[in-house]
Amino acid sequence: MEFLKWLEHTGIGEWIRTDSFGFPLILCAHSIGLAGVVGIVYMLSFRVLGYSKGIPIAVFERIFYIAWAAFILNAVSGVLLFISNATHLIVNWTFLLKLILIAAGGISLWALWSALMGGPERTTPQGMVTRRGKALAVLCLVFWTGAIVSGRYIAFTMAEAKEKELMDSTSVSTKAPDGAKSGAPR
Amino acid sequence: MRRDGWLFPACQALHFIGMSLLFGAIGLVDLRVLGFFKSIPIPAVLKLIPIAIAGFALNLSTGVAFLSSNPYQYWPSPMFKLKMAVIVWAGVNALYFTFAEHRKLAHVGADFEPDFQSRVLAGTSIVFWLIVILAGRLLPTFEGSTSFLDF
Repeated sequence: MEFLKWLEHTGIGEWIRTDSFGFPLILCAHSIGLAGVVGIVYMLSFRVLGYSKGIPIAVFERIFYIAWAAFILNAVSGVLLFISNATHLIVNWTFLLKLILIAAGGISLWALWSALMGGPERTTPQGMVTRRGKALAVLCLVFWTGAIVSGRYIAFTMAEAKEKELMDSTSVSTKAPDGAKSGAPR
Repeated sequence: MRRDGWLFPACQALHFIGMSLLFGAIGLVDLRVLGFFKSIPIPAVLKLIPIAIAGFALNLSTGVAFLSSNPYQYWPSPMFKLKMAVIVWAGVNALYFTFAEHRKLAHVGADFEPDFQSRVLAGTSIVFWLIVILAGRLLPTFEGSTSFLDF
């Protein structure tokens, strides 16, 4: 907890939490990355499930470069967002759920791709996808959608937790704006 | 929607899912028309357009729900106006593509390559939708302000 507190009060942590541009800027990067990663996972899953069969599955090997770039963007922006609110996030169940769902989504995507590349799809681009591949595509859809939903609820549960904290502390009588609670200079 | 604390984030989550559907589908179409991923035949990639339309419909309905839950918060915001303007622009772009270019492209052979005009439309489309995502993400930042210079 001491380490997390230290993280929060590093220069970058303070900047993201308190600067009026810091938080929105990182969130912008995070939502572009989201659209890239999940958008591509969705398209692969739909293709595997039988939509637009004219798209050769093997082409996703190259499309994944974009997904990786978007994922790295989100890993970096995600770490920055975590740093800015580390002590609150580490006890936030929606945040922990999101991490689990991303891990599950990553594992199913990896399993799906291994199944596809080891199966008949590799040699016959228009070929049938195995039932196992389709099941994994459904898992990908579920986990990655779950990651979006739980991520969206983080902001919400965080606001609730901070409000409760304010109510609990008797010294603060007025509702402080989000993030200004630490009293850090702007 | 204002009263139930869980409904608003639920609609936001749907809005993000719609965004991924729209951007994932239209992004691949645009990139293919621009000349990337040439192993995908043009008619095959155009089949993704209904997914983009479904994502757009989802986001239009959740977007209208946000607006009706708090119209005074959104309407005066410069970021809201920018987002709406770019969506309309991107929409006109998409309609033009659908009626002028798509009809040509849908019936061509697998080895067809789009012309310069199609590429310009695809390039502007992907840039517009990126701006829409950014403007949407910045909506809360400009909440309660009426000018870009004052927030």
